Amino acid sequence: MIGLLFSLFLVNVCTGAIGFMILFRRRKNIQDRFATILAQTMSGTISFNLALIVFLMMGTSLVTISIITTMIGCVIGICFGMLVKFHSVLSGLTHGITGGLMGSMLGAVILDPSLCSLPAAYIDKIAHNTILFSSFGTLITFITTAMVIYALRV
Amino acid sequence: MISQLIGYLLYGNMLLMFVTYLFLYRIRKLIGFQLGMNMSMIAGGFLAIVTGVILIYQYPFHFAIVTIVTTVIGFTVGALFGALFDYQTMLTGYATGLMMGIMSPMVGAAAKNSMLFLYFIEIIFILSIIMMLSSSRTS
Repeated sequence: MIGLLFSLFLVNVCTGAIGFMILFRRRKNIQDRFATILAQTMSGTISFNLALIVFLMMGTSLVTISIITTMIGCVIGICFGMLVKFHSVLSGLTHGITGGLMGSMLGAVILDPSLCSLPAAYIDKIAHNTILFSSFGTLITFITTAMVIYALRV
Repeated sequence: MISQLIGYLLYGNMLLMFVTYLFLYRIRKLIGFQLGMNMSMIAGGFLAIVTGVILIYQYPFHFAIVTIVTTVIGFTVGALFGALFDYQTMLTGYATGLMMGIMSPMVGAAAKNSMLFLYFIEIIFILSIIMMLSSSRTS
């Protein structure tokens, strides 16, 4: 389980880094409006996935992990916001923080279903739900990165 | 008994959103991209919230599948409303629908089948659709 989650974590980081490299190489012909939308979309999705996978990998205390994942979200948001001009740093920072908090919350609900008063039958399906949600999040990262990169040609 | 009525409510919401889409499709040339961005955010986000709450009330034993279905519905509707105007508007609607769709089954599960919460969400949804239509008429 830990190996699978760690490989999915690496896949997410690599997808974000490759998307950042492609966007960084073409940053001269990105307008202001698209820079804001890019910062919102990419930082929200990638920080959400990283927070979810980090919480599922070492979920012991909600407070510590959510502080760490919010820091990761801040860094990702600032990186994507500083890509073109400094106008879009605020927007990227907001969505990065939101994604980090939400991801750690969803991870907490998956690992402990009684937080949201879900039925007790979920205790048996924690491993199943872990694999399902982390792979679905990775799929969402792929789709989002592909859509943002495709927007450069439209 | 109540779950069947909730199912009709979901169907009514979908129908309302479809009628709104057809109405906006006719006048999409008159709407600027700033208003279009806000419209796609409102449409995708609120339909995702209502759908997630209703589905988790109806099937409380399928949390994972309900979350996935709600996310897909949210980003599809946000992208459809955004695709009326522009590609970048479509990206905005997609991201908002995605976030709201992931959140909403958790909110619905934490509300513990309270009907008052569902009525509140429903009133907010209808109010936001009325505001969307009126803002498109004045533009």
